[in-house]
Order: sequence, then structure tokens, then C-alpha cells
Amino acid sequence: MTALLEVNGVTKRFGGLLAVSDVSFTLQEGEILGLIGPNGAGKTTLFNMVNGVYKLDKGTVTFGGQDITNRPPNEVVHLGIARTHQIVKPLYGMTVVENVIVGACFGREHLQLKPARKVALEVLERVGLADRADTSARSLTIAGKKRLEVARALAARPKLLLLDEVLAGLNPTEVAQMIETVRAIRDSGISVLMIEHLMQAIMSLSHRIVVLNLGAKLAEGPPEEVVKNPDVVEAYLGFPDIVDKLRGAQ
Amino acid sequence: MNDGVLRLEEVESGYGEVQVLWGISLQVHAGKVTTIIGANGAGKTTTLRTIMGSVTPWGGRILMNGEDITKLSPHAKAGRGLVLVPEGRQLFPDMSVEENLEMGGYSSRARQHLKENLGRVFALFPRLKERRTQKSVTLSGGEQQMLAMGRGLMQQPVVLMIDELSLGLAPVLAQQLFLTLKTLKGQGITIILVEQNVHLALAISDYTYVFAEGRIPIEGESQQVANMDEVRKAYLGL
Repeated sequence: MTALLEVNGVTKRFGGLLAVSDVSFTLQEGEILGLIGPNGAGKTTLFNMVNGVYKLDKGTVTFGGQDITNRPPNEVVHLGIARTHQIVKPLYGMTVVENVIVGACFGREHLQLKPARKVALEVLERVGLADRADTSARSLTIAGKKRLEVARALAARPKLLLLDEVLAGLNPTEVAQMIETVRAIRDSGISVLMIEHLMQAIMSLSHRIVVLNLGAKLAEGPPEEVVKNPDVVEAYLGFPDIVDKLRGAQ
Repeated sequence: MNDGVLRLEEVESGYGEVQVLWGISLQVHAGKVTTIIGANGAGKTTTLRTIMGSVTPWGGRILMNGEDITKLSPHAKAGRGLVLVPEGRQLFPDMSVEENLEMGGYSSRARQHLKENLGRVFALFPRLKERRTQKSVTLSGGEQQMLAMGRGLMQQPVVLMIDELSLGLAPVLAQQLFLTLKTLKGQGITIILVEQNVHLALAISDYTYVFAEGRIPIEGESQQVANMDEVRKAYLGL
């Protein structure tokens, strides 16, 4: 495997707050890399640094051997990195398929409307939204809207997909379906960097996990190793006996 | 017979022409934690909104301590101690932590105890005290959820309804909030919890209603519900 994404010593400050501090990691081609950490650890900020929403204060980002540090988001998506947003952001006035067409038009290939529509319909099939193509994006449930986020990003035909909490708010059945979707995306040759709080999903999907805490990298490694790391347990995973604690006498 | 502090009888409601609840009946007992679980779109949030009155019931009755409150306005219900901590927190972003809490303590019922209630909330969430002058928009997700709960508690709830307590929170933060919930239960507050983390919700609650497509096909003591095959498969991933 070769490195697809290399993040080297990246740092981002907001006023007095050091949001991301000297973080480095590598994502291999064909890999699913999990990014976990407590709220406020800097995970989404790191996404915004990779895809050019935020300018870095320090460090570099390399994609497919090319330096993409501080390239604007429209160029980054053109180079092959697409993302979803934690808070779903469909274009509410449009139908489901129209939303995805937008992704295809402004993606890696800048497609015209007709081929964009074709791509959009293919992608909707892949994420299981084909039967909702012509309904209003507004009418989707949260699970549907999460799928739409993934579809819109996929329509950009990325080499690397950044997923920001696509499982949050889904019930276990929907989670299982989305896990299968992510796995199928990886199998189709797209590498994945995913932020997620749902440990069972991260454990079953990721080849490796990077743990952020307070803006810095706390741990990195295979899932089964990372969850045993005492620092990770303390900062993130919490009490293994929580169910007993909740059930116990007052 | 104890009818419970809150009782829904065949409640129907929805949005526009879309019916979401198809005759929901449930009872919430004083001092207990009642959990509502179910798939997205099953009507969980709509139930809380209908109880609160922000969605108008189409039919059926809602009783609180025996009084028919079906047609009361949300503020009249709030005045009786019915409190909703909404999904997505809905804080006032440009107000400070303390100002957000004050907004919660504004009802005539709670206003006279403002200082006392503020002290209680700060004792429960020391983090909010540390950040009392900070704008709420600058808080982390976990702190925002604490603030949303704190604002609810400023109303001196008789029944505290919480929509998605742990949504988007790291495991350790979700667990801490659940432990706080247990403390509140210990203080005698009646709690209705809508929650995706079924594992923790079933552990903390006394009684559980499982929603599906605007109806309640399964209900029971939470421990029993946790052991049902269909629940284990559909909601616990076991």
C-alpha cells in the first residue's frame, strides 16, 4: 500500500485556543482510518484543515504525493477529496437526486447536467436511496439525510472520502446498513477517513484508529490495541461498568 | 389506583397532512425514569412535542396529575412544571452560559427561586460554573448538552423530558450525563427520556415504551424489555 494522504505536524489556532496541535498521521490507499476523540478534541477542525476550509498555522497536507496545503475546498474536491458534514446540509428546496447532481457537477470531473444525473442515479443506488430520488430532500428522515450526504460526496467521484459522524442519530438497524455501505465504498476503491463516536462501528470498520484529545494525537494503532490503551479509556471510552453503575441502588 | 403523574390516552398528532402518532397511550409514574425507544420516524420526538404542546394533538387526551392539559399552550404547561430539553439543544448562541440558564428560570413559578436554582445547576455541572460568562456557542458539544439540561432544570421541572441526551457525544461524556440523570432521579424528578443509546437508556430507566410507526407495539419494565429477543436484535445489536 502507498500513502494516499499525509498529514504532517498540522496546527490550527483560533484566537487563544489551540484547536489542533502538531498532528501527524498517514492514510494508506484502500484503508479505512478511524478518527475518534472526545467532543472538542479537534476532529472536525482536522477535516476542515485537510479539505481547505481552514488555513493551517503550521504543517503540510500531501495527497497522492502532491502538496495540497491551504488549497481551497473547490480545488481539493477537484483533486479527489470529498466530505460529508456532521450536521446534515441538504439543499432543502431540491429533490434528492438534484442534491446529488450538485455534488457531481462540482466534483472531481465537473460534469455537465446530463452525465451528472447519470452519476447521481448510480450513486443513489449504491447508498440505498434510489427509490427516493424524486422526493424532496426535506422529507427524508435523519437516516435518509445522512445517506444523502454520503451520496452527494460520492457523486464527486472522490479517491478519498471524509465521513463526519455519518452514524450519529441512526438506530442500530440503520447503523448496520450504513456500515455495509461504507464497507462497499471502500471495496469500490475509495479510501475513507471517518470521524465516529460509535465504537462498535469504528472497531468493525477501521484498519487503524487515530485518537485525538485536546487537539493533540493521543494514540494511534489497530482498533483492538487502541481500545486497551489506558489513556484512551480515561479520555474517551469511560467506565466499562457503566450499565451496573446506572442500574445500581440510588 | 395510581394513574401516574402524566398520562396519554389514544393521542394522535402529526404535521400538516401527515399523521405521525396513531393513538398513543402511555403512563409516566412519579419519580421514575420512563424511556421511549424506536426507529427514526417512529414518532418519539413528536410525542414529546405533543405532550409539550408545540405540536397540537389531533385527538386523544393528555392528563397531568389528573388534570386535562391536552389543549393548554406550551407556556401554560411549562407553568405546571412540564419541561422539554429539545433535540439539538436549541440554546441562545450569543448569550452567555448564565444568561441561557436565566432564560430557563423565567416562569413565574421558578423566578422566585432563581438564585437557588442557579446554585443547584452549578453544583450539578461545575463546568458550567467555570464557563458562566462564556457565550454558549463557544462551548463543546458535551458542555452544550449540560447547558440545555441546566436550562431545563432552572424551570424546576415536575416532569423533565429529554430528547436525545447523548446524541453526538463521546462515550465518556454520554456516560457522565447518564450518571447525572441518575442523580436527578434520586432527587425525585420524574424523567421521560428519548434516547438512541438504548443500552444506557434501558439500564437507567424503570419502564420502556418501544415505538414503531407511530404506535407502541412493545412496552414493559426496562429490564424485561432489555431481554426481549426482538429488542436485542433491533436495538441492541446483539
